[in-house]
Amino acid sequence: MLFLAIRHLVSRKKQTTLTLLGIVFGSAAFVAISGFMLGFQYYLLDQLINNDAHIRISAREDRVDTMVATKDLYGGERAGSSIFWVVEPSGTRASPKIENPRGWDEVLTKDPRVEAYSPQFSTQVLFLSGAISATGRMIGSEPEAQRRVTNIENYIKTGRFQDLAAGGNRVIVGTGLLKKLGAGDGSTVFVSTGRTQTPFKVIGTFETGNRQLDESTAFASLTDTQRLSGNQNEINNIAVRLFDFNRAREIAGDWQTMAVDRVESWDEINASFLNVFSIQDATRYLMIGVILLVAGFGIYNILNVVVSQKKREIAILRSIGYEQSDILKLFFYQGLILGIVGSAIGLVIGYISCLGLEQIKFGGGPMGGGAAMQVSFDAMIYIRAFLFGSFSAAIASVMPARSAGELTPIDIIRSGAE
Amino acid sequence: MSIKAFHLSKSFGSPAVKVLHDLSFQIESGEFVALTGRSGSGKSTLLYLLGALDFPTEGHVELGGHNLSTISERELHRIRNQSVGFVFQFHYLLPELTALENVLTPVRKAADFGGAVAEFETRARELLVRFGLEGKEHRLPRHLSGGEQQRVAIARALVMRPKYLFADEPTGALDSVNGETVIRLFEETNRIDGTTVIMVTHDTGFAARARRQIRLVDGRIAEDLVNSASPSV
Repeated sequence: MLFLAIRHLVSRKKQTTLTLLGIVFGSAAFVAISGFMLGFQYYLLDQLINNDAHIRISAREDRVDTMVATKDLYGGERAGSSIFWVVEPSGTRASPKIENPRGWDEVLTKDPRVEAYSPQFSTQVLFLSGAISATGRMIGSEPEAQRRVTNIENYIKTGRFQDLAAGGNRVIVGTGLLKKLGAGDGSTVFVSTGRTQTPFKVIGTFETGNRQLDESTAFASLTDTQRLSGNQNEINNIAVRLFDFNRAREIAGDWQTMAVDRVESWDEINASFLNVFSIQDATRYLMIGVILLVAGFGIYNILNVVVSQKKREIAILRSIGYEQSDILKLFFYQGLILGIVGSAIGLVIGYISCLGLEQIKFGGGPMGGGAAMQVSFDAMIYIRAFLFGSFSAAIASVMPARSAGELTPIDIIRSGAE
Repeated sequence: MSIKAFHLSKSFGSPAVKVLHDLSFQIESGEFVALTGRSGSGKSTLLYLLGALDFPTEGHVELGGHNLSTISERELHRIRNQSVGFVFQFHYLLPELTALENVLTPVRKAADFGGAVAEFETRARELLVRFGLEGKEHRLPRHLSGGEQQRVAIARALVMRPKYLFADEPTGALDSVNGETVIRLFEETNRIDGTTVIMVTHDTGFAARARRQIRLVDGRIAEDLVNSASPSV
């Protein structure tokens, strides 16, 4: 019946072309929109996963509990009976350090799921250069460990990240921050934690494309940062890289049960981002669903018309031995062919559109100025577009095909179908 | 290989209107039978019952020993494909296919039933030549005259070498010259191939060319005559 199905399609070129266009636009739109949206998502995910820790262990901040505070200050037997507060203690009890870094060191070294980890001390600081100041964050780490945990080296514009290891108050600064301060590579900036100002020499710059990060962050060695904030030998963060980032949430959950420190996976930290991705995905599928639904209805309508126009031919085919299933196949194949051919053309057009989108430059935004649009060419996009296009066409053709198959030769002949 | 009708009745609609009343008769292998009668006498209905296109309300038909009311769907389709040929008043050719492709339509289906199809492809070409359609094998139906289209339809009905050829007013839409050609082809097919031909016709002249005439009046057999002057087998 394939032969006859193809002949049917070829013989009504106009209808076939119009129906085909619906599927072509549907699958091309799916490829282009998915390529654009997923490209953006992958870019952000890459930033989230590779530019930062898969799991971050940080010092816990607990709310002050009046009972606990009373007990700690005045002993257990008097708490709650003879102590009355004029103003009850409140706020957060900051624990600016990881309570048991040695314990973590042991756990992380032994856990086979851990690829690398980097103890850090990060602190809010004020950067000063001449009369200009800017608030930001200083991240102190052991450069060798930090290089293994994140992709920071990929974003180094000038200098070498490992040169921080030598210490001596040296710093690698985000290009945006350096620009804000009006300072240059090789110059000295002052860093203050509120108590004193310490000079740091700028030995390099980095640019991640994330403007917020580039305009507020500087990297230094762990010891320099600890000394700056007066917390010798203390750390307040451990950045952990896993062999499989997909297991981050599960592993963070395991560790959380045995630690007082806060343990968060990358997807928990960036839950709001990931929610946006889910909404984007839902919107994308909804849009494409509507396009393909319209195309499917086109096929359904056209095949219905064709079935009623072809009753005479159906009658003759049935009278010469063609079975109900043959007639069903005849019309089902037409829908399927339209779906397959339309989707295939749509994939090519979608691919070309993606190549075009990739050339578009745009300024500003989180991806930095003058960046090219990130477009995904993930094979799954093309496979899905092809399957959606083909299936929607095939499904749309089932009902007309079934109604055609149910026609008996004698009913058609008696009805005098033309 | 005879056709036997046993107490055939056929009703349509609700409340039921009976158009055939308890018909029993036999058509022998190789006969050329004309079914005649006025419009509404039930001759086309009878033809479709005998030709396995429809089923009686009561009674049954035996075609070459097969009870058409009890055989499987698959067997029914095989009989329609390989034992029966149908020619209608209107040619009912598939407009997307060439003359040759139209003739080969039953052959394509025959392959599904496991038959050898190569010999039928040769036969299709031979039939078109025999029916005066040489050189027109690759024309679409719209590029053929009405008479040529009907001859293609006859070739299609005969390509599988059916034992039975059923024709419903085959000359009804043709002029006298083309009508004569069609009847002559039926006579040849009956005489040369031994095909049993059952033809519904209003034309008394063509009916007289058949060996046997069954005349229906109001769904009953009014006459069943054998024409000894007929040239058929």
